[in-house]
Amino acid sequence: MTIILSAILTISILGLIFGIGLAIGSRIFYVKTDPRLEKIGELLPQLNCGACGYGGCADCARALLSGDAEPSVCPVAPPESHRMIAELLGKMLEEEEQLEARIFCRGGHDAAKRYKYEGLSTCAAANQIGGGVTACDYGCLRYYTCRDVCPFDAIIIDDRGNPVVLAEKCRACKLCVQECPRQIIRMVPKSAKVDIRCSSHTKGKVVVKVCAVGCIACGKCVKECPVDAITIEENLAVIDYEKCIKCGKCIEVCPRHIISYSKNIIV
Amino acid sequence: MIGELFIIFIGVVLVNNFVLVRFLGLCPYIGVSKDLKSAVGMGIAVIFVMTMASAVTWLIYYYFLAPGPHNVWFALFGDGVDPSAFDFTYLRTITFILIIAALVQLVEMVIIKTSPALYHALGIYLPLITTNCAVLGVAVLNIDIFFKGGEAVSWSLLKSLTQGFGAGVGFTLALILMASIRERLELADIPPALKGAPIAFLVGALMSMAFLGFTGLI
Repeated sequence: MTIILSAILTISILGLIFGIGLAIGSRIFYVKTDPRLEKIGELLPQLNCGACGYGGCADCARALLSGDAEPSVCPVAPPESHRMIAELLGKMLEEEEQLEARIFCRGGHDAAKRYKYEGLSTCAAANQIGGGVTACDYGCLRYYTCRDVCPFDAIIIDDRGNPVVLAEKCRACKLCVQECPRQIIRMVPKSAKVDIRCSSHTKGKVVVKVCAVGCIACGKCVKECPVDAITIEENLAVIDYEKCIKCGKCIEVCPRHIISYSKNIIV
Repeated sequence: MIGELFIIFIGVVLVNNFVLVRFLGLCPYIGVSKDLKSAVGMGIAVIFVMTMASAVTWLIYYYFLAPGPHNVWFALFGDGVDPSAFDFTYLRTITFILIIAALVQLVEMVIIKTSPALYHALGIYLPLITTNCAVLGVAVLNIDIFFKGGEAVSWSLLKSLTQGFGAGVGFTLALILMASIRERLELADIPPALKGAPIAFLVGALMSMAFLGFTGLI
């Protein structure tokens, strides 16, 4: 009993001495910091995702304060935060369009494979052998590295095996864009609703062999579009988001059903 | 006396190098050895903390934990009691962890106040040292070696300080060597499967074997 008691006492007393020492130390060695630093820190999301390019939110706050970074540097913080940070720093905020990631492949599990792959279950690994496991050179490999790196769980897999970005959860950190070895994830304005979800620049004849839905550059959408927003570039139909009036006529005529309205992505 | 200290110093830097022979502090050894600049920063921080920790842990151990007439508790409450009743040496590990954690915090405060440039140079490494086993290792080994049968050997504090400083220098030496090799490895033609950490482990193993060659030097 005495042993337990004396052990507890000794450690408590030593702890008390150190505690008092640290408290006194923090008074003696108190450093005045800019009060704005703390406020900026509160406005940042504190997720430490590194999407801004700085080593964590604290580093980012320091860069903002010193003027190295623009108020809108954090792609994850909502626009209100950007505005408040700009106000704190006495800077003008340039209005920027909100972006979101979108995955431009709808091949799904039906897309042809070159071989049976039984290796490491990441896209980067599956892309290294023989030009990638998916027969289409531009197709999703479906090992879903993008879903695994997403810090916000914004990428889900639909019932056909396609990774899909949930627009309301995506905060444009671009981690998935960097990870995708086939570069089929692109940042698009949130306002751009109508999309051609294919990245294949191969000729239509080849596309038909490897994929049930890939763009074959038939040009029906180009003819149908009332505002000439769609053009064929290197065997792939491309929409100019600024011209698009979201009438949805191209969606109806597409024989491959790859043009979609971004709200009803899951078929 | 000076010769004795010199032998302790050389012994702990080369013969019993903390990283390569005793295998303590391996996490920063692999983690912070990617480039020379941060390796030097980490090394200096460790030298500093190890020397400070050696002094403070020795004093606390001598005056608070070890039994004998110098024990503070004995001096306060020990009237007519045998000094051996005030033997708190079994609290060594937990006390030392407490001391090191508090010490690193204090050192951090002092550095922020006195030299913000050094603070930014050390960056994240300073708080990381709190949980570095090499620092705890040097404190424990000081007690093991420089207390014979519960009593401090002559010049025990100075020897502890030397060993603490030497351990830090040895750690820095290992870290700088490793960082220099790894900077060259970045440019070398390495099989893809061994790139990064695997080759670092192989290099570490070879360096450790090389340092074992110092055995019997003293």
